[in-house]
Amino acid sequence: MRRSLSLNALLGASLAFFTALIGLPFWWVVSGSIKLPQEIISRLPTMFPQSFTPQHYQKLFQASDYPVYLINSLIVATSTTLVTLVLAIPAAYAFFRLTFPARGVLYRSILLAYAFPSIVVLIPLFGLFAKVGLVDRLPSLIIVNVAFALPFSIWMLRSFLAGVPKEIEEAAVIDGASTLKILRRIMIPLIAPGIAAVGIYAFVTAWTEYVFASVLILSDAKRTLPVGFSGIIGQYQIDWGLLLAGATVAIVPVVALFALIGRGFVSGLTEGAVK
Amino acid sequence: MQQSKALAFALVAPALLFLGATLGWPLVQAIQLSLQDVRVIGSPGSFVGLDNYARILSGPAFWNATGLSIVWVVANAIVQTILALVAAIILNEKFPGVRIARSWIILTWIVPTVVVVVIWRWLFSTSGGMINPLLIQMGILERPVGFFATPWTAMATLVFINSWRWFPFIALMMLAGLTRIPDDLYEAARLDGANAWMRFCRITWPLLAPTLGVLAVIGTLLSFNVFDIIWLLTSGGPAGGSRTLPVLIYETAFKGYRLSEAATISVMTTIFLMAFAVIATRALDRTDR
Amino acid sequence: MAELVLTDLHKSFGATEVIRGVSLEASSGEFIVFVGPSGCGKSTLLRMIAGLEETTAGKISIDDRDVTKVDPAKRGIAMVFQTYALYPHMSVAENMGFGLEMSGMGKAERMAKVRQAAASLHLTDYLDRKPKQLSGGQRQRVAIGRAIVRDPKVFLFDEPLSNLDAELRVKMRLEIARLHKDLGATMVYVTHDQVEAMTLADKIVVLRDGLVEQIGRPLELYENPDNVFVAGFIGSPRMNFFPATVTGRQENHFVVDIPALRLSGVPVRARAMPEDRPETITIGIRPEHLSEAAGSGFSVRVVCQAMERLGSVSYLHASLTEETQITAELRDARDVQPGDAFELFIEPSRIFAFDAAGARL
Repeated sequence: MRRSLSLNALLGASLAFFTALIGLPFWWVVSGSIKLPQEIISRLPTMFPQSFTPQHYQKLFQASDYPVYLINSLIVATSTTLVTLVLAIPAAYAFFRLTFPARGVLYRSILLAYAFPSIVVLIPLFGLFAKVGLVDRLPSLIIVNVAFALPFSIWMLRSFLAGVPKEIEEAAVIDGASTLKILRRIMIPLIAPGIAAVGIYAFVTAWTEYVFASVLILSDAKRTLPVGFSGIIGQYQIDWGLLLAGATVAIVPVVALFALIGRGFVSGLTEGAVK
Repeated sequence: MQQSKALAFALVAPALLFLGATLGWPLVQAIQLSLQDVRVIGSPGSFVGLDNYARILSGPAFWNATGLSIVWVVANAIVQTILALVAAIILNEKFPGVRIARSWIILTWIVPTVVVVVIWRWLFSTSGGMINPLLIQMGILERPVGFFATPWTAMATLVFINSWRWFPFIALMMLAGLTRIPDDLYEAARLDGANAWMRFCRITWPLLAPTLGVLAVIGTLLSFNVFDIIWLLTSGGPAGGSRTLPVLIYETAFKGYRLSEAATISVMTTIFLMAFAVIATRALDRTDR
Repeated sequence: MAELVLTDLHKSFGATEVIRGVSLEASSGEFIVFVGPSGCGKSTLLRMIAGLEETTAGKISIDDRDVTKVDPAKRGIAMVFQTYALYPHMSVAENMGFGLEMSGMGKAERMAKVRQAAASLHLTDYLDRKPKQLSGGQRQRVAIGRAIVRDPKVFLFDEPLSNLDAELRVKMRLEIARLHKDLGATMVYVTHDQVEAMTLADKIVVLRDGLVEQIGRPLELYENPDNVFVAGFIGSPRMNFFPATVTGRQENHFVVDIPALRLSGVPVRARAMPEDRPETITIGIRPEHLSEAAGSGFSVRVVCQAMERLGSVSYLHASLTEETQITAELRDARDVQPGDAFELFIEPSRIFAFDAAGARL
């Protein structure tokens, strides 16, 4: 559809606003991470770096176990993604494509889990993990993150499954495919964009989680990136250069991941149905 | 058909059992804890009945936090809805680079919360932050302001930062609703002589309303449960000005070492949220029909 | 030899019974078409034969085997869906071979069968394409190919041509007819299009409200409908119906007055004379049995309301009085304008008679 000139101007202005709103903070962080300390805290901030130094990055990788945090975070986020998908796909398939008694009640109770303030289960879960010896171990974080990502993941798969025409499933039944074969050979390939979207959702949930990681993990070597990062914030003397370098390093992996499969996430969210 | 019912149960069972163990069972534990007087994790407690509930309901801390939580949720809802709706409408247009914009708008959401916190703490800070000089240059401020220094500026700043993190996600969910509105409706409206504003009011808004309803429920639950941004930026301060219910629960349990009281507040919060979720989804179901 | 036998089939969804006792026999190689208005249960009946819907009561046998409770895949049927229902993520070859793969057939054997079927459907060049890259007609052929490779005893078609444009529909109709001849297989075909029904069927089953109204060869239904419903449903434009009063009877016909047409003493043929003389009956005249050419018979004066000119024939919609409308098919497209009055001639031997309940007399 063609737009009038004034609408185009409005569109351009809004676009510029949102680009600045989202882009500028990131630009300042990334460009700030290579500025000299005096430029970072100067009274008149600079848009483009006037100085260059790798000193913040050197300090970051010498003073902290940043690579270790990074690996821990990747382990937790990847495992969370896999476990979430393994649990969510069959459950969503059963909820939205099969009929069985109490389906509605069970589905609703899963949605109610979404209404949980996560902080509520922190205390009892700590006790539970203490009992089974999971405190200060990465699996405890994976379990927690899956629990938080799972209800929304199942809900997200709904529109994808609903978009698969019933006839395709019936054709597969006539072709002699069992329910599990239909799930594996027909449904999973057809809802692949949805699976990608759910995978990214679970990954990001785990990647950004801070509270549980800070309570359940005690030793420095098991910390995830958010907790390790908060460790370098420091209470009294704030070393902004170090923080900006740390922030940049924490942003890069997700950005890289997103550059690879991000389009799937967005089109997955927005398109839903199988065309 | 009988066998397929068993199979269906087998498919949902792992997810249900997992959620039961990680969310359901802890909730039961929290209820038990709320009826005792445990102070630190692992220490024994004795049964005190509803004493905790009576004490908390009669004190000011819980009610202050409830009020702040409501302010927090409502303010976030307003800011996020406006930002997200405008962003979604833009992303639903065709312009060069729209595909890139659709993907990368989500950048704020995929970055760890702690990083978001540091970014904004720096940008809002009086030493080297960009916001103060920017506002002074635009003539809005006369001299640098400590945004986290007074209760209401702290709250407003927190709402802005949390909205900044979440609005792109909401915008994409809205975009999903927008893309389902057929183009020919807009074309028909143009032939009927409707301008852009009328098209928004008469087509976009009514057809997007169901999506917005669902998002309102999800968004409310999402922002209600936000804890890390608040805790990391203000720790509930200054002067308790941002001590929402999740912050109060955390403080009571891990700073005040009154575990049972924290569990009590948790249980009441859960009841409120679930009641809200049930009522809201009922209302949505009704408007769907 | 009976290939497909339905015995007193019933189907209920909750409290509503949508199939209320259908019995049918199809012999080997027969082409059966289910027709009826939407909601008559024709698709449900087909899906029951396929096994996609459970049968509430009754028995389905295919090739002398009771398959009422058998899995769809093990019934010896194949189905072609209205929406084609091709697997979007699989190539044409994979689509056609999926059923064979599920039955455990080896890859080489599978591919041989797929190639053979593809050749007969002119799909050989498209075997590696995805359904998305095919035209509507090609997709339909893939759907048919998927059915052929299964080598079924009975083919089931659920309105397979309704998503195609008019030209392609005629082409595919002929192709399905050719396929039926080549394969000699039993086919059951659901449609709401009576042209498809009349041209394809060996035997048409007219359904209404979950019951069989009539089963017969296409021309039999046209020339000898059992009741008002079938008479009105088969034939286009629809048959004209008028109430009539019986004034006399002879050995094989009634003498009636037709007030709506201002006619009296019209002899109307009956298949079998009832014992007692009914007082009022319904008479039916097909539009193609009315003509403007003067002939022996009765004539009525009508006023033209609208003319639909199709080229070879024209449909005249005319009125006699305020309430009485009549439709006629005219071969000689004279220049008739709305408002013109002229005379239509009726051939009495072509008039059908029905009793008060709608059954043919």
